[in-house]
Amino acid sequence: MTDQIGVIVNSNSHIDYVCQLHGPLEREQRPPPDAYAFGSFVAISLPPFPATSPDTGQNPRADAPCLIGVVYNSMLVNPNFTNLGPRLTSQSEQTVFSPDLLDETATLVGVLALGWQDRAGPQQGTPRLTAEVGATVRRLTGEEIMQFHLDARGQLSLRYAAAILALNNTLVPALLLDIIDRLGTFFPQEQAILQVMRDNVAWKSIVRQAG
Amino acid sequence: MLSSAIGTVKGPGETLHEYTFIAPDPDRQLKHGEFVYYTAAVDGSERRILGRITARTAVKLFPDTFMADPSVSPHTLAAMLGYDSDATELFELTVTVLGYYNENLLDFTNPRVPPQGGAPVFISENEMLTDLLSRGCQGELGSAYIGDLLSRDPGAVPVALDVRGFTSTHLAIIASTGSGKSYLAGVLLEELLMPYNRAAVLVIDPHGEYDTMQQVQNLESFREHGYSPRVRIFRPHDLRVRISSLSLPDLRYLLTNLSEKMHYQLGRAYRYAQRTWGEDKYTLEQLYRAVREVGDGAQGEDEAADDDPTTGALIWRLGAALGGSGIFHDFENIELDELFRPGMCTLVQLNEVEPRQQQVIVAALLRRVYQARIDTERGKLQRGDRNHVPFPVFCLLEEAHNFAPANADAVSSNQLKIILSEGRKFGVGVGLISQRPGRLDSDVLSQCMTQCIMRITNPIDQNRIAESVESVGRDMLKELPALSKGQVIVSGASVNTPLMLRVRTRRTDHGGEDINAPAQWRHWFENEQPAQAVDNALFAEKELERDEDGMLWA
Repeated sequence: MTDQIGVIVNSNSHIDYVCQLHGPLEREQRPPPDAYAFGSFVAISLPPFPATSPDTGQNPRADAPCLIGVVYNSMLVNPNFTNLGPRLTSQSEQTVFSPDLLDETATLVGVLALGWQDRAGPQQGTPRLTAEVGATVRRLTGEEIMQFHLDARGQLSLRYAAAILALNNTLVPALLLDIIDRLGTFFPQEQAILQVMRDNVAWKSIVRQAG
Repeated sequence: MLSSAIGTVKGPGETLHEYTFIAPDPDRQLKHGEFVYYTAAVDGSERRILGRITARTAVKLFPDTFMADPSVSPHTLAAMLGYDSDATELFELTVTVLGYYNENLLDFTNPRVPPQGGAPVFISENEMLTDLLSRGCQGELGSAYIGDLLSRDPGAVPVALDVRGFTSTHLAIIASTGSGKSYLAGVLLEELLMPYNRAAVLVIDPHGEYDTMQQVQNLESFREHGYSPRVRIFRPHDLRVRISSLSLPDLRYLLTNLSEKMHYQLGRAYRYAQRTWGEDKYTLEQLYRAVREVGDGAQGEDEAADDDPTTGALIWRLGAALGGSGIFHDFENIELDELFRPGMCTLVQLNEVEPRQQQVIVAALLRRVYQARIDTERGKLQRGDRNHVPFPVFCLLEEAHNFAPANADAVSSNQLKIILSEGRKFGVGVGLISQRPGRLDSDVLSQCMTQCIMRITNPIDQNRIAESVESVGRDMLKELPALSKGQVIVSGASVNTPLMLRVRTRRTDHGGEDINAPAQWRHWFENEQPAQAVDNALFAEKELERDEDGMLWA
């Protein structure tokens, strides 16, 4: 059982990557929808170590270097879209006669890199290293998410919040609210501080926007 | 400790002794005038630096458009949009730093240690404020419990004035009509007559509204170990001022429209009378004689100058002002030992006395008591002397603007100014009550070091207070029009910092109530009208009789 969900196929910036989810021809078992849901935390492998061993398909070593990001967007790629002309084959026959066409139908997710992990452990901030095309992407476990959100003193840390808010992306406030809600389940003792942050983001993105 | 923090320091304020903090204040605790503190290390020990909230502005509020329909709460609208938190308001509060209470100085000391940004701000506990704000301690010697801190629940933070402060450096009660100044004065008088104070008080009562103070004689709470306060009332017909106790300025003030020559002759006559019959020992007839003796036409000591028009006019004026008066008398005088005694409140009612005479009476009384105190302190008067006043006294003057008017010379103004500037040394304290501070002499007002200011809406009066009362800050003065009946700002020497108080309930009845005109009109119809109505009834309603001449009579 692997938590691998796809591979990096493109990037829009140093921290904004595009991951193509594994399609039916690549994996017998496609990643479950909640693995790449909006706000899911993922690890992007960095060279030389893959995030997931390609040979075994098993999860890599815990200290393998990787970027840590969050799914913030999704796009569907369908070559047949707007191709309304007559077809020689039916949809079911395409698997046999034109498997490439099926391969080109893909689900892409946008991943914002929020930090990285190396031998020193997880760090938040803009990563120095860059993932490569083909780098594997896997979802983080709950334990890894918790570790990623603790600083060296063991305090809850959300250092990336300001950086992603500065992106001025319309999806970011909702993403941040989702992250805060998710962190609330991991860190119930920090509910007060998370609530302040949540109220702040919600006020700006909901009340102030609507007013 | 952090759990009771009510806000977080934002940073320094506009002035050096101000800082601002941010607070959600869901319980509406942080009212204007409320006391808060932060902690800081001063001289190696942790101190609570007390401050008073002087401004409050919103930094986070629902958008105006959320309030388009009064029947829809903006909270409901926000919840519908996905904002379901209670955190919908945030305020920035400006605090004026008072400092920490310095036990050695018995005052607040500003340590000039600004709070760190992000430091917690705490609301001051009731017990802390009770200890720090009052100079006096409720129910103890030298205290006057006049009310509770307005920003807290009734009774939570009682505030007691330092009686020593206002009886030595004077008091002013300033308020517009109907805002409770006489009520507050009644509270103060009650406290002064309490067993723990037993003051010697004189009240100049131009409206005769302090009669109800007599009740203190019968109230159990004013008695202790054989002590019971006395209240003595001098009604207008009881008042006596010996003519020879009037000073030359008093006489000049009473005699209106004096020419230069009359002034001169009156002065000579006054000195002649004093020289001939002794100070304070001559009668009106002797004063007439003195006027004649010094007149232009006088040939010798025994030959008067009745034909001289100045002499005649002066004698006529003296007769008009003093001769027909029931107050000015040849021999009788209210003696000081009748007026002043510890544990006694003397009410001098002037409600039927003409204004000029009121001023002269007050001037004469103040002059006599002040001189008596000087003479007593200097050992010139001994026990048994009727002017011997071996204790400090406190004089409360209602309608003080009549006795020290701003733009007019009143004979009582000068005497008041003397006492206000020098009375402290000899134990003569003055309390001035006025509803028109704009008409009160600004020098007089500024020398009252304890101020009780109630609702004032007139801008002229507000400006006069701002000019004359230094101890009340601008932020407090802004509150003046907004104060309700029975709310008072107290500042100056008798409290540790300016305070907004809720005046306590009087133990005696209030005598200055407004007349209930509609009720009295109705009472007249129910009780007095029927008898009168029969007399005034129209003929048609009466039985008519025809007399012998054929005339009809009702």
